[in-house]
Amino acid sequence: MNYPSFDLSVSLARWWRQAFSLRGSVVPETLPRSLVCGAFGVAISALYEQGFTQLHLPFLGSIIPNLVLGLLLVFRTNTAYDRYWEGRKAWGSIINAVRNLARQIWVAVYERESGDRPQKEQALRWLVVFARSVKQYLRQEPLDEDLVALISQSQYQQLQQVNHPSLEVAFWIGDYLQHQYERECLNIYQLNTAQNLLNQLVDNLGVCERIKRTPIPLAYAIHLKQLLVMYCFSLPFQTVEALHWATGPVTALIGFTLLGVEEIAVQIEDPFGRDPNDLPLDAICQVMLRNIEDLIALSPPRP
Amino acid sequence: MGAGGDLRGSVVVETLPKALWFGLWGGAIAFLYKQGFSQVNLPLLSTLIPNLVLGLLLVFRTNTAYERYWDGRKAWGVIVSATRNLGRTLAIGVAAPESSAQAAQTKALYLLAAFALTTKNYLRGEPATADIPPQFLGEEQLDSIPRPPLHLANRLAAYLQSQYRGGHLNESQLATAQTTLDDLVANFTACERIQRTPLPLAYSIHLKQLLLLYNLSLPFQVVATFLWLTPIMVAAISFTILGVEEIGLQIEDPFGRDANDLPLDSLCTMLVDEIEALIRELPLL
Repeated sequence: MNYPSFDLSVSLARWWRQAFSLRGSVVPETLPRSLVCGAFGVAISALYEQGFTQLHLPFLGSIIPNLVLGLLLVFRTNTAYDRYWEGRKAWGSIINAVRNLARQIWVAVYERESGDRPQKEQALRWLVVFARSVKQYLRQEPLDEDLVALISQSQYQQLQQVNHPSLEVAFWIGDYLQHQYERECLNIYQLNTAQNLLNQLVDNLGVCERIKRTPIPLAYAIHLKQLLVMYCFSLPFQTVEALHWATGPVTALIGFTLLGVEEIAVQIEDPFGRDPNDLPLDAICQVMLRNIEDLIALSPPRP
Repeated sequence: MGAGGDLRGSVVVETLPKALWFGLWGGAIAFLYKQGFSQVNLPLLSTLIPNLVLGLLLVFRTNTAYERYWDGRKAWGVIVSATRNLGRTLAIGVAAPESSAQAAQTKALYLLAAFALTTKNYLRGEPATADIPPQFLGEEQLDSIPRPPLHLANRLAAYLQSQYRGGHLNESQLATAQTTLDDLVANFTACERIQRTPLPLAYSIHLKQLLLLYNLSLPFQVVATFLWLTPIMVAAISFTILGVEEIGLQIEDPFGRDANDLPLDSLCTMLVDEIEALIRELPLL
């Protein structure tokens, strides 16, 4: 074997640690609900032990076909994951377009006068402003005040007044590119590629908006919750005869497993928030800014 | 022995210890049962986790991981082809008659190869310049730069632009070359995305919890049937399902040095050989 033993023990320890870790797990949300199920189970078993043997109703097992519940549940979680991953890809594509567009503006736009350099730097910072405003928009938060470090006060006020700040910033960038083309600091091919990258930015804004604005249809989400509740509450009647006082704990455990699977979906279906299970958008925007600063620090292209 | 008995790259090493723990647990339950505690026979516990739910979650986890593995491979495929195409454009498209221009051309080709090499190092979390021959980087200082490949892409773009301004490259060639450079950066970003975004914690943690519950409840379901064989059966069953989870864990981040990871070293060696061959041919072109 080529595997050193300490490596193995580290990875095993990590496995066990993760199995019991709370941060990012669904335990905090799921545990109270499953305890309610458990309490109901205890109540049923108490009544059963008091002589209410008519509470033993194994027929309730056919209320909800296991197959139907299982497929609905897993489908719900997988759809939620698809949204999460699509959101991540959209952000990957935004990062990409920002990197490529920044490089092209920096390298391709010809600096004719001394005022051209600051204008170019401003255009690069607009790219970061675009990403940050998309982030704020998806979180339904107002523009963050740190943006003033990247744009002028008047631009900031302008952004606060418009309906959709990201689109406004995209418009500024497009306008800048067109202007550079008109004064012949950019050739037609370069203008074309740059505008395509700008389109890519706006397209991916659209993808994120779609994910944000279209949750899984309510009919689906609600009916699944109803099925889960019915399933969990019908359990004690099926098992009380065999399990007696163990009915409560077993019901709680089953509730935990099933409600947990549903909770995963709830946590990841809107990936743009601030939970431990959401995308690290703040970090992504931070990295973007650092890339731009690195680019600006790079010695200017020789004319 | 064929692939069936191969330990290298298999999940046995990681999975067996865990399976043995569950086997031990099975042994304890079998012992209690033999001692007369017949109430440990609880076949009803099989409803604890619907098999269907666990099975689908598990398989889905492995398939997602494979999708990431394959995405990573595809991204590297594009990095390889974009490096080749841009290398060819740099060697043939740029008119570099004077020897100083030829030196700059050679430098650009080396930087191009360094893009792939630094991408590999970055994805593996190794120092930017590890295993890169000094002539590939020229005077570039990469140690303090957070994402060295992007820096190299900027340098290459600046080189292309200067050749265009100097009239050694026409505008259509420039546009194609810059697009190829975009491809390189796009696929670097794709690799970064795969590496930086593991499966959401909620998913991987709850799946582990389900696996744990499933394995711990197994002995209660089978002890009356298997008696002293319980530990063996429990260990075998938990080995199979934990193994499926382990596959997902192993291939989720495909850029490392494990037996299950992508052969990035050989891809990079191949690219370096090709670029060096191009550089040797430069004077003949």
